[in-house]
Amino acid sequence: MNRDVLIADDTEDMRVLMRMLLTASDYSVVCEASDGQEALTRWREHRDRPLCAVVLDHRMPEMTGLEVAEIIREERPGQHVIICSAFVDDELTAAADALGVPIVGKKEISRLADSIAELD
Amino acid sequence: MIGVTRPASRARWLSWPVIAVAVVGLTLSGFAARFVLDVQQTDDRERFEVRAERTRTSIRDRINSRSAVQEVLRDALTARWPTGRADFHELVRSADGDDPFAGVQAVSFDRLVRAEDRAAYEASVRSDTSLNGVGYPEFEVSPPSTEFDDLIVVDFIEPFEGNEAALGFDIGSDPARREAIERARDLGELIATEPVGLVQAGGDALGLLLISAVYDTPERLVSEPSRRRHFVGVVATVVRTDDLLAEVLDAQPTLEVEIYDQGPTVNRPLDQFGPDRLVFGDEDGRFVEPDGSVDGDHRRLDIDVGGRRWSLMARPTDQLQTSTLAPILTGAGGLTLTLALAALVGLVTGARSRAEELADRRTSDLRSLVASAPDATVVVDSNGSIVLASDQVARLLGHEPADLIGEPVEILVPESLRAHHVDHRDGFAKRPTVRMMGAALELEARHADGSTVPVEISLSPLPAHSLGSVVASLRDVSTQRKAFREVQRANEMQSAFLGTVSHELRTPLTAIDGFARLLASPDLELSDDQQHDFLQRIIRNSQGLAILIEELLEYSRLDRGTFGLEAVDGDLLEMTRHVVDQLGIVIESHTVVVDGTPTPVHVDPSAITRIVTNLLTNAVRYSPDGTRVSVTVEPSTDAGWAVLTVDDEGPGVRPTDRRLVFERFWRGEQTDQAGTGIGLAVVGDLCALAGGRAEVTDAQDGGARFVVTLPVRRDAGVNGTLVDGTLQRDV
Repeated sequence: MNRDVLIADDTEDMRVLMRMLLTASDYSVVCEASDGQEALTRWREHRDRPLCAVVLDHRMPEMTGLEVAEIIREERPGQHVIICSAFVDDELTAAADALGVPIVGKKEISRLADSIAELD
Repeated sequence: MIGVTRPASRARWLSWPVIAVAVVGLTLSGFAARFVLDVQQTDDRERFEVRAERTRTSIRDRINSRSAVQEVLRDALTARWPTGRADFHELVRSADGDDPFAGVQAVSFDRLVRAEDRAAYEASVRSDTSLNGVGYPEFEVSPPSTEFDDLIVVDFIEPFEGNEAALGFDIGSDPARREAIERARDLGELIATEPVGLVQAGGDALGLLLISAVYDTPERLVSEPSRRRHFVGVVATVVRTDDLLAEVLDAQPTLEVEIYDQGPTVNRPLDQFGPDRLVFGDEDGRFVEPDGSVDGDHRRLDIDVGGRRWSLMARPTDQLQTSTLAPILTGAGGLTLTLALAALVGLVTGARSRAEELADRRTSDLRSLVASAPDATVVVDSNGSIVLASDQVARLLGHEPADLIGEPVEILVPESLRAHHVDHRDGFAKRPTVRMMGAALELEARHADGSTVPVEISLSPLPAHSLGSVVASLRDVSTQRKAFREVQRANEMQSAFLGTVSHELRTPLTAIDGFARLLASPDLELSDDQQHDFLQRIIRNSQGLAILIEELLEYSRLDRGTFGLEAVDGDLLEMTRHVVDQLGIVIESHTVVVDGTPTPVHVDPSAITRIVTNLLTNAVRYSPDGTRVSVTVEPSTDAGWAVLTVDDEGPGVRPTDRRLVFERFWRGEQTDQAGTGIGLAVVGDLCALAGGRAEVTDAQDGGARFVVTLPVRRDAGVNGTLVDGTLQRDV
């Protein structure tokens, strides 16, 4: 299994931060997206070489992280997806549980690499 | 409590139906009593007459019967003439075997004796022992002398006991008897005497004699001379009228009877009712006046007896007197029924008039209640027609109340709901209760102009016999409904705000934390450029946080009304430049250009700082990185105002949202955009507080243009406090 990861966040700071953290843990951020639609497009571009994980901010323009995760799950049920959200409430937790998608709070972002590792 | 007095009403029970019932009832009762009396009187009269007639018949039969016995006796004597004493004794008893002396004092044979044969006759009787064996030694004819040549002497008499005194009496000496004897002799018929005093009773008792002539040949005598020639005496029956009649009359206790002798029928019978003519009756207590008149009801019946006419005068006794009980009972019954009926009618009409009065009062109460009700009120009858509408209906729905009377209530219902409403109305009629109509639904009523008005409708059923069956009150709730929607929206916005604030605070915090950790990590080998980049990111996020926190504080102050302004004179252009310079890194993603002319303004500098900061933050947030944000300061074309304009190259604000952007928490359709929804609200509030205003229009290049107008002159500026979104000026 490769260690290729897609990250999507509308804040550039967060993308930079995530890439630094994942790179430090030997993950390869092969592509980035700044909104939901772009994340889905980039993910589909990697059909030939499936990704190890997709890290999605929840609150993004165009589509939310959960909406993207749902489409990914339909198109490729085995694809690992993690939602990374600044604000985690009951509603979001319940929706993510229903999809079987783990959530990492942004305040725990330093654990992001560990969370991806736990998916396997 | 308010005392309510009512005018004293007339006695309710004394209504015209009661009087009518009483009058008719009493009249009918009177007629009924009178009728019963008449019937009873007629009945009594008939009974009386029947009894009187029966009495007459009975008396006549009795006398005729007696007469028949006497005729038999007379014929027997004639056939056997000359007859002896013993034979007579035998004949009397055989003529009427049952009771030969019923009602009879005596039966006698009175012999014709010539005056000159008197002594010889007396001698023969004294020596006649045929019956008693000793004869009648004391016998002599009485009275001792007479003016007539022929004597009619009581020769045989039966029964002898009690009649001894009569033996030998010359009945021809008495004129009344003599006249009868002569008529009997000449006519050959039974003749009755007028009432006479009886010899046997010493003349006190009244009686009459039935007299039949006895001839000495059984041949039929056709002429008066031959009868006189063959005449030998008479058979006389002495009838005690009291005995004869009492037996008959005692059988009729309901009659009071007097019988008067009117004389022989050959003469014209007299109408004489003197005491001397009395045959039967109480001599001292007669009820017939001498002229024959009788006080009160009576009946006169004539009986022809033995050639004489008797007048039987009868009147009912008290026992036959018409009883007044039945008419009285009838009248009393009628009276009672009438009173009961009148009372009943009184009660019913009283109750009805009370009910009507109550209904009238209720109706008038209802009318005044409806008229004074603050809500538009309609009263609807059971068919759904409007019977009453208040003036408020005109105000609320534009219909003249008078025009609505008789219209179906559906005229007030929006067209699309009319069919349903009829069903609902039927449903309510089946289970009428006081309730709100369409609970939990947002009801609307139809205005006369076709528009709809948001209303709340309460329904109250009316009691039976009221003006209508339902009162519907329509309350205009457009204000409430609008306010409710606003509160709802405010709540939604506030809850979205909390999510936004968390997100907006956490994102820069996470970035600061993350980059600081990267810098501090001993495992990472970072280049100088990387370290510089991370530090810049930390600073930028810190400033963003500071601005956000400042926004929150301002919001908090504005919300609590503690945002005080202290206006000073200054140059708006200079103030603006200063603020833009201070923002530095926050707006470095865009090209911010400040332009314009120095413009005096009279406003609190901290308000300018917040207004400019928030407008720029907003422009940077909602327009793409690298685009231009133009800030321009100019005096207004209207003297006295300074105008600050901020143009961006973003998507702009839709016309429908332009009023909303200055409301708290409103963040447009694209809620994924950063921002708390506070910044522009603070701009709007501060402008208002400073005596100016904020607006949004289109920028020339299609982006958004925010225009802030602020007062230039000292007196135009306003010092005050904003409370609940309203400017409270300092006095």
